[in-house]
Amino acid sequence: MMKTNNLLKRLFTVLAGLVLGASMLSAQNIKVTGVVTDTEKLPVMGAAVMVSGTSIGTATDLDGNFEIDVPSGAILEISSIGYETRKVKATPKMNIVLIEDAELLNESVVVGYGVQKRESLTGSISQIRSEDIAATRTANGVDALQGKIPGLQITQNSGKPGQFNSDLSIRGYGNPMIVVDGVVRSVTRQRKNTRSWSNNARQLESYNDISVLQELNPDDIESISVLKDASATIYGLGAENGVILITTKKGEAKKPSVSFTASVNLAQPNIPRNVESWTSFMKWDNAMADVAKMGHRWSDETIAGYENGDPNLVYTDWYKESYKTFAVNQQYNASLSGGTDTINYYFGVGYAEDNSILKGDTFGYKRYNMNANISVKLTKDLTMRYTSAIRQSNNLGMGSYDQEWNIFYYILASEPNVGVHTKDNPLHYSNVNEQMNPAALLDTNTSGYTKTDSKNFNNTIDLTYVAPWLPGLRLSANGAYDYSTNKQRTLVKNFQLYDYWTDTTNSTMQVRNETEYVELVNDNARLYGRFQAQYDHSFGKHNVSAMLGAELTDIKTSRLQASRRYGPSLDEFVYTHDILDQGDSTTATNEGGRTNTRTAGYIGRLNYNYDGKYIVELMARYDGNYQFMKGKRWSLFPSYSLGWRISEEKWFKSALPFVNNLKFRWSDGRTGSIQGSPYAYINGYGKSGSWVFNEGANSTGFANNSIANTVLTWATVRMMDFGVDFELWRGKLGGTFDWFRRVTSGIAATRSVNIPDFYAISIPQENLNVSENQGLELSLYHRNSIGDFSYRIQGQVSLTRSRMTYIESENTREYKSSMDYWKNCTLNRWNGYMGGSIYQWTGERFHNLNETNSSQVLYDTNGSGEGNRALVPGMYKIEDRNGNGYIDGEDVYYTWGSSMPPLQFGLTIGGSWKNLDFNLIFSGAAMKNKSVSLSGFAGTGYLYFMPSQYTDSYHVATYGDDPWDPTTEWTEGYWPALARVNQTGASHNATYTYNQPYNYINATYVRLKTVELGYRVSPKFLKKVGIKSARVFFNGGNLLTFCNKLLKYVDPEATDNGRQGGDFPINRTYTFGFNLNF
Amino acid sequence: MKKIFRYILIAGLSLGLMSCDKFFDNMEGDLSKVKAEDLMASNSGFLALLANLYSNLPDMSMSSSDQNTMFANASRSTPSYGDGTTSFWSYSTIRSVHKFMEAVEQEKAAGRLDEATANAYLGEGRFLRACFYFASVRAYGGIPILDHLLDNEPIDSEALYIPRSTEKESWDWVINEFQAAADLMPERQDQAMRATKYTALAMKARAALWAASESKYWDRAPLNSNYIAVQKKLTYMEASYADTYYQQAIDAAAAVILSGKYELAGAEPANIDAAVGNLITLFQTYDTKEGIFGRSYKNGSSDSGNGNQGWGPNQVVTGYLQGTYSVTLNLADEYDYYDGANTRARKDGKIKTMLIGDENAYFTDESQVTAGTIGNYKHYDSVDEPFKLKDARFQAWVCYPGSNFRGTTINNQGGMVMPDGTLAMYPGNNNGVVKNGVEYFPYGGSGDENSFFYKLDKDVNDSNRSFYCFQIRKGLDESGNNPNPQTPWYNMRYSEILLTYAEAVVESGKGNAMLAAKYLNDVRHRAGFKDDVELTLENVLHEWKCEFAFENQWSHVLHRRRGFITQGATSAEEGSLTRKLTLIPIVDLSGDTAQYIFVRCYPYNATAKKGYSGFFNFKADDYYQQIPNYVKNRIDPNNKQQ
Repeated sequence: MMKTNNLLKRLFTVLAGLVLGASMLSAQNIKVTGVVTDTEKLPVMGAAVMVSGTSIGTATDLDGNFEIDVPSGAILEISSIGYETRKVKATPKMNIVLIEDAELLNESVVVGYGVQKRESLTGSISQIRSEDIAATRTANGVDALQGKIPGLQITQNSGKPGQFNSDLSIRGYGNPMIVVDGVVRSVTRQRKNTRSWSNNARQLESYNDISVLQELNPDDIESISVLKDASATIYGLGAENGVILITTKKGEAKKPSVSFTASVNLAQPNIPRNVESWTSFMKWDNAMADVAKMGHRWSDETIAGYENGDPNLVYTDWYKESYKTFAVNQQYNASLSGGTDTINYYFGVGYAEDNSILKGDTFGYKRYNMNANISVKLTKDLTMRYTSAIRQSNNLGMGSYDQEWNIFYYILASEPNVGVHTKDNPLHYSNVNEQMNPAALLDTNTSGYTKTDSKNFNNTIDLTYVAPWLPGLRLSANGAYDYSTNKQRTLVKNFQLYDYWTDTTNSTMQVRNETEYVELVNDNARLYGRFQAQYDHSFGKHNVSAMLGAELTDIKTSRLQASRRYGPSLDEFVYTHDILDQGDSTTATNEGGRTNTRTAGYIGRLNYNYDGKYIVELMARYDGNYQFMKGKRWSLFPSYSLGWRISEEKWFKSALPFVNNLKFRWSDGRTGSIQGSPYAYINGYGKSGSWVFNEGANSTGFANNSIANTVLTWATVRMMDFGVDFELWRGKLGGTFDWFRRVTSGIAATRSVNIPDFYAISIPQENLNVSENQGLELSLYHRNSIGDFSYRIQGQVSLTRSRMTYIESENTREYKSSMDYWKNCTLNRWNGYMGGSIYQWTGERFHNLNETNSSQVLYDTNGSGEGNRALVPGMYKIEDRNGNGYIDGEDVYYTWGSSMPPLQFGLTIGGSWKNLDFNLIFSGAAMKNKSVSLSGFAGTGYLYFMPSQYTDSYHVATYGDDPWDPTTEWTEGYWPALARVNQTGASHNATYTYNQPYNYINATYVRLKTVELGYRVSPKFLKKVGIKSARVFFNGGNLLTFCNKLLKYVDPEATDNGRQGGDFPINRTYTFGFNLNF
Repeated sequence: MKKIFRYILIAGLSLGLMSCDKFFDNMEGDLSKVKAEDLMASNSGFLALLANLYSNLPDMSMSSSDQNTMFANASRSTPSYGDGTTSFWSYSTIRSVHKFMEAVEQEKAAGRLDEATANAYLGEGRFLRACFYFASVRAYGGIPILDHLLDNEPIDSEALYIPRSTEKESWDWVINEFQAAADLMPERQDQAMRATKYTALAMKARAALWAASESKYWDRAPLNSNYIAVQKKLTYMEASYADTYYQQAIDAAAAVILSGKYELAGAEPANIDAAVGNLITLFQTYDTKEGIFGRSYKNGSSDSGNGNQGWGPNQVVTGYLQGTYSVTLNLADEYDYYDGANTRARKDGKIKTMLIGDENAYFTDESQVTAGTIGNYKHYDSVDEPFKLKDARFQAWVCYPGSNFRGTTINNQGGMVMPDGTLAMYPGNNNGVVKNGVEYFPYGGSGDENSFFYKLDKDVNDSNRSFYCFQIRKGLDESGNNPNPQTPWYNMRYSEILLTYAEAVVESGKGNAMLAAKYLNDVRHRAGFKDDVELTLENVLHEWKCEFAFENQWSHVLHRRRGFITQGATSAEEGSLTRKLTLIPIVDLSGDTAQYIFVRCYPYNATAKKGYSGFFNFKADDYYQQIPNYVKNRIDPNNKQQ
């Protein structure tokens, strides 16, 4: 036995020696340097690089680079969230490509008050990441989301700098709630009225301020989630339109890294300027005058003079005088992030501008962003995070909204045969058509301005305690204090125009009577607090998580506005500076007010899933709101949702192995929508009229015009959603389909009861009306790679419609006829469809005057006797639908309206090949008409241009022929014969009186919203200059639009309905930039 | 660490356990509304409620409607009151009156308001309510009289339905309410623009005169006797009612006159210029001696005014629609001449234009004024010569050709007789012609904007032009083209009470005829006349027209006396004319010196002889407005047959 033991001992010793020796050898570690990229050659930062089976490891830096000493021959395991984990044998130089986790199911999705894995979601929630947002380079954060998120409907109305005039709606519901880092940050505010035509610079309007989304710096965003169904109800009262959740970037535990992006953007109108030459215009104008039986504005000698270049004839191209070739914008973003075991930090700064395509400094926008996010581990269990977002923006506009509204019209209306300045005095602006001069308007020293200066400070503190005594329990407290100010300085100046030829002036050339200066200061503060407990636990195949929370919000706003004037006429014009003190104190006015709102709520949520297959979520919110009377302030809003991942069933897996994921979802939840005005339960006195009892002293009147409303409360909003998520062949095809319905019952309305005038007060509103939204959403994606070329395609389409299903006033109204019912009852009718007022036509047009004169139908409603004789060739034969012998409002037919289109779609194609990467984003819409009014172009007889588009109109074959001679030959076109209208003669011309079929143009369009091309410069070369990586890119915005060719000059997306004077055109942009990482 | 955890827990618990409603209880509340108890805590609260009521009063601003004595700006086919309110169906304001009276009663009951103050407020409330109902009766006939608050009635209560009273009952109620209000109201108020006992009595006189005239003349425009409203006497008055009402008007007017609180501003002026000056000044600042009830626009802020900025002649205002408030020749002819600057006795006011020929013939074409016929026209040496001896009220209240307004000579001229004797009427250009070293223009002054008359070629602002050579001056700011003129508005001047007395006496034979004649002549003397005229109805009506031009009164006179041109027939007594007339001053350069002739014509323009515009053509039914919402209100409508 002893021998055996010794033998064993010896053997062991030898073996041990061998093993030791081997390990001594391998202890000569090798140094591995490598880079981790994804299939699109983009660096994967923060990827874990571990020696398999050990705890030795590191993480990649911002550029995907890592360095690690490992035993030679070791197997490296590289993993990162969102990618499939790879195991590779270590070599000194490594190039590791991670393939994106095909199912994306492990992706964390930010949901209300928490984060969930995508696989366990039961609500309809879409999320996009930073890089997808930043692919569109625009100063407006809302436009950066267009076409990227199913169900998020965005229509860009104009390209006005800093105005961010885009309609934003989730599933057509209206203004969504915006939540940033866990705190609701959209708010109702007041600003200078932007819709009034009034010259009064002091009118105010309320608006829903979503600037927190519009003015975000895309580079500071980690992700954006959109809660579209009952999952939004957890935000309580006011969340009925869905919720957009923005999460900002945080630091990570690694070496400090710096990223810097700079870009220059060139913008020009998306709508081409395509007008007929001046001489061609004059002939067209004369032809239009012939049709209208008016005198010619241009003599043959004048036309000939211009054609022959007579040096005595003045020609001013107002377009060139007013437009820049390009608006040039710059954008810079820089960020620093890093961290240690206990402190992580992220700092981002950004600068963006949006300059005007118009000359001068009348319009413009500048923004500065600074974001800081610091997370400190105070103890092993307690973490504090402080987030601060500072934003300042400066916006410039005209002083008078009336002039701002009309500037594009003035550019078109101005006479080219007059100079910008008078003939003899380069300091005097000449008086052109309508006592206006675009160049003077664009000169802020002459006409005035509006300067808006907004400052926002958003601060959030989170304390999170991970309970060591109960694994899975996390307690957190969240506090936020936001402060913002908004200052507006409006100067509307009186100025004088001069006769071009004589350099003389008179009182009618004085623009406005007085110079007025207005200052408006808004001051808003929000205080928010929340306590939240979260518990997650799994036992066996059961996964449970529960959340309880309570929150309260207090918002205070105040407003102060003051104005003074500077004398009524130019003689008394003593304008000095835009300082109130220097105005005439006897003209001083001031206004002000303040508001305070409070809301509170208790939140509860319970999630359960069995083996990842059967998912149940229960939610409830007990909400309180200050608006209502005691006893009616609080209400409970419950929700539930269910999910079944059928693809996790064993039988399914074996039957259809290529299906990675197939999930059915159903959600159904309730929330409240505020109705009526606050404190309606108090019957008080309000300001009403005023009287001078003693000369020089005004007495403000007060009156009581209502009785207390003790019945009205919030409307109940029920949101339902059925959805299917699927993914096949590991990401080669995937998608989501949703059907949704939202019913809002209890919208405020006045009961239709007979109350005699003697009662003299309207009865209080009650919760009576009901509305409904319904729609479908589909999104599909495809990812693949072929050799070095990898790509992904994602498309989405959504159809949303809304209607009223109960309207008290319409339901109780008596209708005289079916036409009356059809025109005045909107009950159960989808919005935007039946609203139009087109006349139905027989499909034929009048080709010549004989046809017009012999027509049976009288196009006449006012008995003036003109009848058909007012019609011109090219106009449709309108159908007298009710057969009463003439065409009137009873003969209208329907068409699509021009509001937000119900069908919207988008397509994103992204990919990379070696060092090149690209992104194409298309977006579009359908089921919308543009109502293109002819009078805006040619009808007033005031304008001095002829759009080439309208040369495609009926006109006499030979210039100069009498259009009213029945023997005259006509050339046919799309538009009817154009006629001038004498402004003082009002609109008597049938061409402009009837909306004819040609006025409604199908505005279906597809637009190449974004093209981005990038090239990553070789790191080897850059290392020498201390740069880790660099990328240069080109980005094009709105480069291509496919739409009806008749909309060549009328943007199918924008609200401008062909007047070409309504608003700034949407821009086409060319952006060049680079990104550096240190 | 444990401490921190404890804090979080405490914070969480306190959040969770806080009493739900407490969070909402200690807020500032609704800052846009004032609670009743806060408002009534001081007298100024009552004044605030009164301010709202006064601001809703009818007839409290100048109406631009052309029936308000010969404005020529517009021609409408249907009658419209347009007297500062859109409707006289003012039950929501009546409710405000009742809310005011309820508040007074409550404060009185609570002992916070003494009896005397409370009664004065209640009187004022009743006065205001009577004003609203007065306007209502005058428009609709018999009305539903609601004299209490209905707030506490359930909305399906029968008590919410008030039947119409007969027209006579309605008038009686209004007149009695003015008396009851007068009995409660103080003789003077601290605030100048607030009603007193005598304002109430003056209103009573106005209402009684209206009821009296309507009774006496209802038959001039009788309604169809098949109308339900006539059968129920809801829109019916008869001559037998008249005497009582005339007596009430006489008594109330006498009470106001004898109080000695009021007088005519600038009575017995020294000369014509003084009279003109006084009459201009009267309408620049509210005169508390002559003003019985009115409105001031001097509210301490310079950016609000009475809105008549653009009403003056084209030459002295800017902006759109300047100068549209022109005046007919019909009114200009109405104003008498003085027989001489010193004697100042009455002489017929018809402006003399012809030496030979018919003064009532009207211009139709250029052949009427030729080298051969020019001698038939009376030639004046200056354009303002025909107006220099006109009634001071005309000179003070009308911008006539050659008059001086705001430091500018008003050039209202429409043509030129060329040196060769041809007439250039409304020529297409305003080219000047030099005569004796002076340049004369067809439109009076050089340049386009200097001319007031109809448009020149290429003139797109033809809506700023007029066919008339007279424009309103009364009540316009004399100091300059102020964007916010703050000249006052008189709802009732003392002279109205004097004329009311005179009319009631001459119509009824009651009262003191000697005093009535004196009152009539007091009004004339203030306008510079030195003679006395007899107390006749014609003379009284003539003074209504001249004294109250542009003060909304003439349409009231015609309305209450059923004096509008009814179905084409002119009430000769009232002197109504069917056609609007104008006068074209023309400079005649065909003689040795430049002289002026004046051509009477119907409104004329250069390119077409438009159809003339006339004054209102009433149907009998037009004297009563339609009853609003009569089905909903369950009351009888007007103009509906049995």
